[in-house]
Amino acid sequence: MKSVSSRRANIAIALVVIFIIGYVSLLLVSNYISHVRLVDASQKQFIYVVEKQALAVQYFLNEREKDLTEISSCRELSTYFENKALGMSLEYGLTTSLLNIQKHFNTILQSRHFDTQRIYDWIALIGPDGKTSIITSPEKNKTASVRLLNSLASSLEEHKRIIFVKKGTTTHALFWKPYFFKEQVKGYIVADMPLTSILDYLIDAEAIRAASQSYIFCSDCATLYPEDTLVSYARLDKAVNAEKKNSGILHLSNSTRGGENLSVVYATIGDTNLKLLNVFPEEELSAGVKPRNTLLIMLLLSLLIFVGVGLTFRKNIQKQLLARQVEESLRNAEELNDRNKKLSAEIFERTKVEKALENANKEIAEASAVLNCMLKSATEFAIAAIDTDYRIIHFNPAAERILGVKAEEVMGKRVIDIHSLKDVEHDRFRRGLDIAQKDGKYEYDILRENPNGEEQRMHAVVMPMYDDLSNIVGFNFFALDTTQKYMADEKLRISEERYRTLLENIPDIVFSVDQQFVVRDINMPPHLSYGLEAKDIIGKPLKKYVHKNDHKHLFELTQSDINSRRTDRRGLRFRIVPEQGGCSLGRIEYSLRL
Amino acid sequence: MTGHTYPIAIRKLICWLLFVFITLTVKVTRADGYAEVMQRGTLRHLGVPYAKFVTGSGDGLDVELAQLFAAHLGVAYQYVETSWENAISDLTGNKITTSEQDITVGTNVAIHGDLLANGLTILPWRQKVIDYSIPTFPSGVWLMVRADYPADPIVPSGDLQTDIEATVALAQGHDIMAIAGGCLDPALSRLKGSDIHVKLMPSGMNLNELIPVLVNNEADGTVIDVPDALVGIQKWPGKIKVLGPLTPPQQMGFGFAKTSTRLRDEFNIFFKKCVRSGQYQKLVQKYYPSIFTYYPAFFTEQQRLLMEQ
Repeated sequence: MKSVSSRRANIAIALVVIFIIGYVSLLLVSNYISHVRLVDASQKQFIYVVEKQALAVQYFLNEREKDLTEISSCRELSTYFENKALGMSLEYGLTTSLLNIQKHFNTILQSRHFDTQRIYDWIALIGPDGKTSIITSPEKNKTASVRLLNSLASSLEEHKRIIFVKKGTTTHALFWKPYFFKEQVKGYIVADMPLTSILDYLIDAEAIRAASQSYIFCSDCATLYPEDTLVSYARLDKAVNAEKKNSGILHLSNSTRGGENLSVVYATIGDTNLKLLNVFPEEELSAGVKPRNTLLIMLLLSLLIFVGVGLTFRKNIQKQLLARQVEESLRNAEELNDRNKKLSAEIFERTKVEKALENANKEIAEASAVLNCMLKSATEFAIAAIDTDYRIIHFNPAAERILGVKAEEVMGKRVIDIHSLKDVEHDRFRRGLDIAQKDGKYEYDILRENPNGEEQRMHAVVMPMYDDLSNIVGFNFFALDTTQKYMADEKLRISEERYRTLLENIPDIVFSVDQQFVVRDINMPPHLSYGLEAKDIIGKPLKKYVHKNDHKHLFELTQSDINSRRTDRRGLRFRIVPEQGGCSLGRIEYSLRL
Repeated sequence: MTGHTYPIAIRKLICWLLFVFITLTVKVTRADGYAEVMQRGTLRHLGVPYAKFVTGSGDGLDVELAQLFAAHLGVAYQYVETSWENAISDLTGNKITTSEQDITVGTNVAIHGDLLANGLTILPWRQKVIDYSIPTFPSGVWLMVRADYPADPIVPSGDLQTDIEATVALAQGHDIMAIAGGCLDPALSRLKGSDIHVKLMPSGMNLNELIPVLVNNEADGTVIDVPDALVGIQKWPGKIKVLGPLTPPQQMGFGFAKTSTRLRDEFNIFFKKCVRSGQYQKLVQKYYPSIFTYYPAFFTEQQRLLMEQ
């Protein structure tokens, strides 16, 4: 299946390549045609731009002519010539008029400028003889040159408005206009303007091409400005002057720049004999690409495409092989990945269990340590533990002392076996464990002889031990030696019995009261019973049976004794007031028990 | 008391003495114009519109100089217009009448200004009643005629006296306007005593009206101040022409009352400062640019003298 699809892909690629080759060929042909048209359009555009620039220059020159017209029509000039015509002399009045003319010229000179660059170098009124009435601004005390006067005179005949004069490396345009007063030429108004102004401020040579250069060509004065070693007036003279049209393009085969032939776009400036030229390398017309090279480019491109297609086929096959290998590798990688995942899960689980185990062991160790400490520190209680097999698994030092058996002697041994040695009933032991298992604990007293042959009494408790699942894992045995306590209780009991017997045999009433004078104990001899029994009086206040004044006296006396902590025996008389009525005298002797 | 009377002569003497006392008292109270200006806080500039000294439009060479002087004093400037006829009287406080370069001092009148400046030519008779500052402007008198005057202007000979003679010769037998009392008084030029028909115009006439009167064919020509002539040449091209000079160079200055010596001295200090700073030359260039070519010596000398001081 894959080889079939690969073949189809190759066919598709081949079709696409053929289509691309055809499309590229079409593009190249159309590009060639466009290129030829572009060159034509470029030429037309260049001519148009230069014509536009020439028009701007013409407008500029017209403005300069208007300046001359403005100057020639100024009142200061007419005033001067009026006054002069009246015969006024410079010494007596005429100088004023000249100064006013100069001021006017200066105003024109200052007001005509490009940015900060003045248009005119100077403006002058030159007399017809060149010697009189030369007024210039800025003021120059000199007469006009013969050459200039000749030029002016000849220009007047030829109706030329501009004279070009070469001054060093620059060329100046002299705009001139004859001044007529009463229909006679009284002088010439001349304005000197360096051509730098036109080229610097009016012509943007780079509007055509960055490498182009603008020139002003004057056939009258055989001048090309600016002067250039690349193109000179002599080189352009024949070619430009031979052109009859007002604008066009010339290809100069005899002039080159950087190995490229030069092209010249020219346009005549108005009705003057001036031409504006723009010279640039011929390759600029086609943006550096020549139409004749287009075919070569097309063949080169076709070859490149064929090579590209071959490489594409080869790459395609290699790609398929590589794809299979990659597919196999991917599958293996997937399996490995699954295994890895499982292994990782197992490792994780194991790690988890181990950690839990470790924590549990740690807890157990800590708990055992605590428990051991507790058991060992319990010196009054004999503590022992047995497992479900009745084997002793713990036996604390107090047990050793109380039971008189060393731990190493009984540890790990079964209780039953020990009992057999000591003639303990098995049934009683089992019953006790059953009760403990049933009720939670089993308490009992033990009476035995200690190793010294003395009677030893103990109070024991058996409690079952449970694991986390509430299963019995053994029993605890707690025993307290009660021998001393039993003996003290026994002594007290015998003492009380003796006191009771003694009290019952005394003929007087003996009683004891607490601080609130409530009767706590009393013996009632039969002859002094007043019909009362001891039980009727115990717990009742004494004032119930004693006259209130005597009770008060007794109370105060006892309080005084209490305060002075007097414990010797004292006596006083008092009146007994039984409940059934009547009154008897009695004497009471008492002592305080503190 | 009733029978006690004085002789008439003694009465007249007493009256005369009283008059002299009162006059002297008035003179004393008018002293020190500088103090008055400073106390008042205003400098009153008396002027008559004339040429480009006082144009009447709020500016002019003398107006700007007076304004600068007021600023120099630190007081306000006030222009007070007067007439040629009353200018001196308004400055001095005495009614002054002139005739052929002489004066008559009349009764007291009110003083309206602290200085007089409007292209005021320095003349001997004026110096009798007012003080002048140091010369502030050059001047002279030319003979101006209508364009259709039969004679052409003189051809300058290079000698002023020869040129004056030639000018007077050209004017023989023609009606020439002049104004008595001022700088255009025939007595100041060669007109008096020649065969020229001098036509005296009213002394109160505005000098700016001389050329229009001339163009209006009321005379063949007129004597005219050079500064005024320079203005007229531009205003009336082809209508008038200058035949030639009639007087040697004259000078103009600012006029002060005889009692305002300190004010005048203060002005002289100010003016020297103004010349040294070049401010004065700028003002002259503004109003009379061509005057430097006609009277170069005046400015050279003025500059030299002021720089030396």
